[in-house]
Amino acid sequence: MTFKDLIKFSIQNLFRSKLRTMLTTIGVAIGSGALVAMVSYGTGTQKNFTDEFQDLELFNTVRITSTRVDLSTLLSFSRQTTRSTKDQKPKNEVVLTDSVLAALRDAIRAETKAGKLSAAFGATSAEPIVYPEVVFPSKLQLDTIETAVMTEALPAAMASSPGYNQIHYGKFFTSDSSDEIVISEILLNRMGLDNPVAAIGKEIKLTTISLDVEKMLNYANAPLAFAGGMPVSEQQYTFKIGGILSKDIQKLSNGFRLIMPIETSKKVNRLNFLSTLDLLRKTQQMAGYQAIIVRAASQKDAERIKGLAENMGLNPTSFTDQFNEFKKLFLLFDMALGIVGTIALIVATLGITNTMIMSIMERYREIGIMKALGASDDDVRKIFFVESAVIGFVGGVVGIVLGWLTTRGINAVANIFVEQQSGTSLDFFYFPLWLVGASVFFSVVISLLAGLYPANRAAKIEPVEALRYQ
Amino acid sequence: MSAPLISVSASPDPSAIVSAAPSHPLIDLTRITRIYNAETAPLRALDDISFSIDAGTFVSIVGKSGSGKSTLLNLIAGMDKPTSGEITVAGKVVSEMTSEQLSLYRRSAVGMIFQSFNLITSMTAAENVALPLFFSGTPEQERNARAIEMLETVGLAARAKHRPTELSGGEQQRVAIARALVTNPAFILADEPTGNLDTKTSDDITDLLSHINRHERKTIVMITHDVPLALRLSTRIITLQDGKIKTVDSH
Ligand SMILES: Nc1ncnc2c1ncn2[C@@H]1O[C@H](COP(=O)(O)OP(=O)(O)OP(=O)(O)O)[C@@H](O)[C@H]1O
Ligand SMILES: [Mg+2]
Repeated sequence: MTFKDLIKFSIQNLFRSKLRTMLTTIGVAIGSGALVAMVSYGTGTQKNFTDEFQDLELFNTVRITSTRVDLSTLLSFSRQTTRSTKDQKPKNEVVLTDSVLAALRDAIRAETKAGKLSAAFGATSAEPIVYPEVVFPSKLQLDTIETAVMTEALPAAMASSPGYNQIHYGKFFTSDSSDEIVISEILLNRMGLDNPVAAIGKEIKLTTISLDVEKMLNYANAPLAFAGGMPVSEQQYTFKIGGILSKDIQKLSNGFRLIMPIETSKKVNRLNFLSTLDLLRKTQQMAGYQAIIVRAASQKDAERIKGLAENMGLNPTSFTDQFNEFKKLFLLFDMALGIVGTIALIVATLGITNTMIMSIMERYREIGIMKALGASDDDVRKIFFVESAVIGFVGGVVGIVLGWLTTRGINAVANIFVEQQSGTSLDFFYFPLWLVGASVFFSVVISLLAGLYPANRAAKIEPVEALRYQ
Repeated sequence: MSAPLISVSASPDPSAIVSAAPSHPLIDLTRITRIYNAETAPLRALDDISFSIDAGTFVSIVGKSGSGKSTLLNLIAGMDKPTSGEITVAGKVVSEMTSEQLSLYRRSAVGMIFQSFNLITSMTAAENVALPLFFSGTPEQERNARAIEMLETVGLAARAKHRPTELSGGEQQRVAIARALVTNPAFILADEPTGNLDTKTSDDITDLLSHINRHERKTIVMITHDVPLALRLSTRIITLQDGKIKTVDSH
């Protein structure tokens, strides 16, 4: 038997019981389609993130923190507060003050001058942008509508960075101490402003809260004083809307954003923490920045700057590092999706086992005839094996079409909501060529496994016995 | 597949296997015993049988029902193994072959004809005839040509595209004979080939077998209940009784 003969013979045999073959194949197609759709969702999500991060040049950023976020230091710290003042700072902890920031800037500048970094970054700035990470809770008021928002602060130099260099309405602030702020279109929409152009130049009021840290620390020694409430005060500031971040620029990370110039943010009284855990830290540390961000010209530069910061005793994490952690999560996510899809496929291929066993029972005598005419055990095994594989192959191919159509459908429906939300559409699924190839291959392999038992059973049939069988 | 044990090409050369051992008989059985259900309820279907068949002869095996005729034929066909004893075909010990070797032996040396025709109903007459060549890896074109040629030999070329259900019993048996001949086997084993046919059709079939024996010098071993028929056709008649050879008559 040549391979071509086998394929032809198997297809001929499968056509003899069309309905049964068709139902089994549809089963496999549904299983394989489910697997393909699931995996394509996983890869699609990952691709969307990666693409956007790449577009935003986030892989060129390094985030420098004072210490690793280490729960044990935090816990030991809370015990230490009751003890006296000396020697409390955990090793390796540098407070990210303005002087640290300046030192880092100088170091990076020297590195640039030495020609160890790419010469230019962006259109306006000739060197990496170094700025402190500032994010604080605030309340935003526009006309009569109020909403809570996390306010960020960025240097004016970011105007040329991807994500900020395409302000659709108005412009990014040109000075670090301007009183103009940048707001995202989505946030404006939430505040009831549907026409972004009309918002340019409008005044907004920002209310922040600040904490009297000294009082707070005294409370630690007199817990009952908490009964009087937290020692907080509110301040209100007025800004002008200078630019609006369009919905189309960022897709996934688009959100409610309010950005003020970095120098301006220094004049704003605010809480310098993001989580309540930070409250346990001391005054001194709270005076520093949570983090320093460096935006380099390339991913390679970012890695170099990371090394530089490490040498300075700082604690840098490149975005690539963070993303690699993130990717591990994706792997888990993909695996979960893949397992669900594989189960669907395995259940479907059990149909193949069933179909083949039925087929063998029906063709019992015929197998005897073939053996009497000189078919070897192997020949018979191959015939049933190839029949399983053909079902698996056709099921796999149909499954891809089915999976593709399904994902297109889901995508269309999902995008109705996405567009309502963000005004832009997004492809949730991604069909790389390897997925197409792998799913057909996988479907054939699983089908072969499903055909293993029936094929062996057929191979073992005794011709004399089968021929006596009526 | 491994190299053929007995080289039988698709081209008609019946002397190939025969001439391999001119001094030996084509089929040789020595002290063959076949016991069914040896452990539970032993049944001696064949009891210490020895005989041989020369190339080109027409041997009929007769005997009462249950005397062991089919058992004997299945052993020669390589579809079953003797409990003891040795079967040699053209000098090769069939009774010691592995299942892989046996399939090769059946494919190349044996042509089988059954009482119930045993055609595959989903295939056309031509496809049925070509089936043994399928397992030997003969190219499709050659298979088809050989099948048509064989159907011509049995006078059924016009029915090549018909399925077994569209053919009469006699026609079906002729297709089966064409199928048995298609690989140009060393011999033909027929288990009551006329058992399901009326007298007139039976005569046609036996005439055809006789013709093949005489004109193509093909060795034929046939089981039959019809003693007068056996007398008319065969060179030798072996009579079995309770798994033993009762008589051997030569003509
Ligand atoms: N697979 C088997 N298991 C057990 N006993 C068997 C088996 N095959 C045949 N027999 C027994 O062996 C004896 C010989 O059977 P066999 O089929 O060879 O007889 P036969 O001469 O061909 O009969 P018939 O003319 O009815 O076809 C019978 O008694 C039968 O019942
Ligand atoms: Mg019998």
